[in-house]
Amino acid sequence: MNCAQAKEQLLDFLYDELSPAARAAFVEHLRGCPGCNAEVASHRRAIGQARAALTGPLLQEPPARLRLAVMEAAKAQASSARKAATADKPGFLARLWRTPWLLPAFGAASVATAIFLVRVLKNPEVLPGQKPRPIDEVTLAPPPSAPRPAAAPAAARPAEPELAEERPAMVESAPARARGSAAKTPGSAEAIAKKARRGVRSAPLPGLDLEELGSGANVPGRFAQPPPPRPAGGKSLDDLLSDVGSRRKAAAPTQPERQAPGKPAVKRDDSPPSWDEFPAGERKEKISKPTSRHDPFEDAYATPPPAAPSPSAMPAPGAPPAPGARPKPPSYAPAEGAASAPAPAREPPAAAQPVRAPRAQAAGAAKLEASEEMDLDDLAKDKVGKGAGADGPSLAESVKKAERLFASADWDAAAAAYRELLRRFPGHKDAPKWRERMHLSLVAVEKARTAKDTKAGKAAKAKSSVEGLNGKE
Amino acid sequence: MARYQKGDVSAFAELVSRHEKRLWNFVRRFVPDSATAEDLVQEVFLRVVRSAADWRPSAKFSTWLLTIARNLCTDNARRGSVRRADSLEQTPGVAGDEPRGHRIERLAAPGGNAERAALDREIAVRVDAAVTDLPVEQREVFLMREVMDMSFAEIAAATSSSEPTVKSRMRYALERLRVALHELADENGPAAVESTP
Repeated sequence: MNCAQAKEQLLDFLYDELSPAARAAFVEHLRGCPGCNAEVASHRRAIGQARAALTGPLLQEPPARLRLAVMEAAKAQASSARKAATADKPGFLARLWRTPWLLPAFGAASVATAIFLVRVLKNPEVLPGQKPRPIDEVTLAPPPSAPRPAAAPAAARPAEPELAEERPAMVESAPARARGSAAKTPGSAEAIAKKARRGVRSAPLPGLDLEELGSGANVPGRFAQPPPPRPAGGKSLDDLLSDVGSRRKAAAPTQPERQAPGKPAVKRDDSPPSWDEFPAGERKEKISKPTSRHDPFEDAYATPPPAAPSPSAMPAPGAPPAPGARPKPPSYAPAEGAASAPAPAREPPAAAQPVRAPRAQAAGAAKLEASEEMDLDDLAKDKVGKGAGADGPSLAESVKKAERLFASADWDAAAAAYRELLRRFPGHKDAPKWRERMHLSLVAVEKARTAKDTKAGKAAKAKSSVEGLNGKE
Repeated sequence: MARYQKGDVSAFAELVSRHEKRLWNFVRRFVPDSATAEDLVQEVFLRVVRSAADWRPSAKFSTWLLTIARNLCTDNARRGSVRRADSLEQTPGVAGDEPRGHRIERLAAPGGNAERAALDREIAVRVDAAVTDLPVEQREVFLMREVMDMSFAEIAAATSSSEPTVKSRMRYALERLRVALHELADENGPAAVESTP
């Protein structure tokens, strides 16, 4: 290190900012250089004297009022800063108002809410996540006032279990739909299922039981047709038919024995025909029929093969009429000789008709009802098959006769004629028309009977009251 | 300072008591009277208060404080209202308009050797005079280093200068001081100067 380099590093040496190596080199140079050594000593003295003067005698104390003024200013500044922060902080509403996206978002939410409310009010069944259910998916059950037959046992209807098995698969009940939709959205499965249940329960359809829907029992098919028009008086057609049959039986309590004595009674095949025997249109109707419901027209399809017309099927003219029995219309006048041999009553099928027992009006109603279909068949044969061979009259003749009876308002005979037509030609293109006319005829029969009963009841009442008065006198 | 940022006024009182003395002596070397120095020091602390929210712990507080004070002193000098602070006897201040000799006597400790006390007074007068005579750039560097005990790097940051520039200014300031004190030694003999601490 030379003197110039030492002069460059003099300040760092005096304030001790040299690295150890540089400091050692500087000290080594000072040992061999008296000039540099004297200069370093002179600077050290000057720095020492100046530092002693500045931190000693020359050091002044600041005035006390300076600190007070500074602290007052600091406090005032702090308090004003707090006030300013409080004043500048906008209120909740002001902050909401200043939020740029809030108003559009609020407007959109309001519109969405309004649309939702309008939809819900217009159709309460429509809830989010639930598709509107068409009304024809479920068949409205009849009002509870109408009497319902009990569920038929499986033995009575052997083909019904097949239909019952098919029905739950075809009828997608509300809980099943809820489960289906829940499966589609696993995240909110339980919520959607609950919502669907709530929606169904909150607006139940008349006569529709959710539990029945869920179990699939007593549920008409998904594609079930609405029930046939109900006649006046609040009774269904099967009720009417059943009443007609029972009254007829009461009017003719004895029937000729069709079966030879000693032979086992031939049970009428009460089960519906096999599935393949039904035309396509009737299959659909068949599917839609509830298992527990008895359709009288099923019996029309299930009538036994035509037998020889028997005049004994008609009640004997001398036989005492059963209570409640109506007189036969003139067109059903019994054939000659019908009263000659009062045949013993036919054995009713053992397990075929337990369902109809509640409807029977008398003790032997079950037996009579069991033979109801047979009587009607016989009646039809009497009316339609007169003069025909074993196969019965031709289609044209039968149709012509049925139409004539229908036009002449001979309702009972017309119903029988159309039933016979339906039995013999179930797949005919006019079968729906025949079925409709048969329904109309039965309804007309029931109307006439009701009117007559009412009239007879009034007359009997008047008579009894007159007799009562006479007795008193 | 972090505590004061959270609203603790007592923390600011601690800061004031820690720095006001050195700040006062620094500012007092740049203004001709103590009233101006008082206003400037008060303004320095008020600026600290107002800018407390912007302070970051990365900056050393003393450096920040000296930067504010230096800028205020520079602005004050530019306004032309600053008279050259020549010497203690010419500088009006809190101590009153005392004659130079009285001030030195008051500053120098009276105890001990009377001859030694007189020499200390003379040294203080010469140092005070030498510092006051320094150019502003050299003076601020010298005072920051000797009074505020700042490193050359901190001084460079506070004065917005490079560190070699700061060292160069310090070297010139020391040379002037050394010459002034050397004259005193020449007048009273080297022994008197050597004996000073």
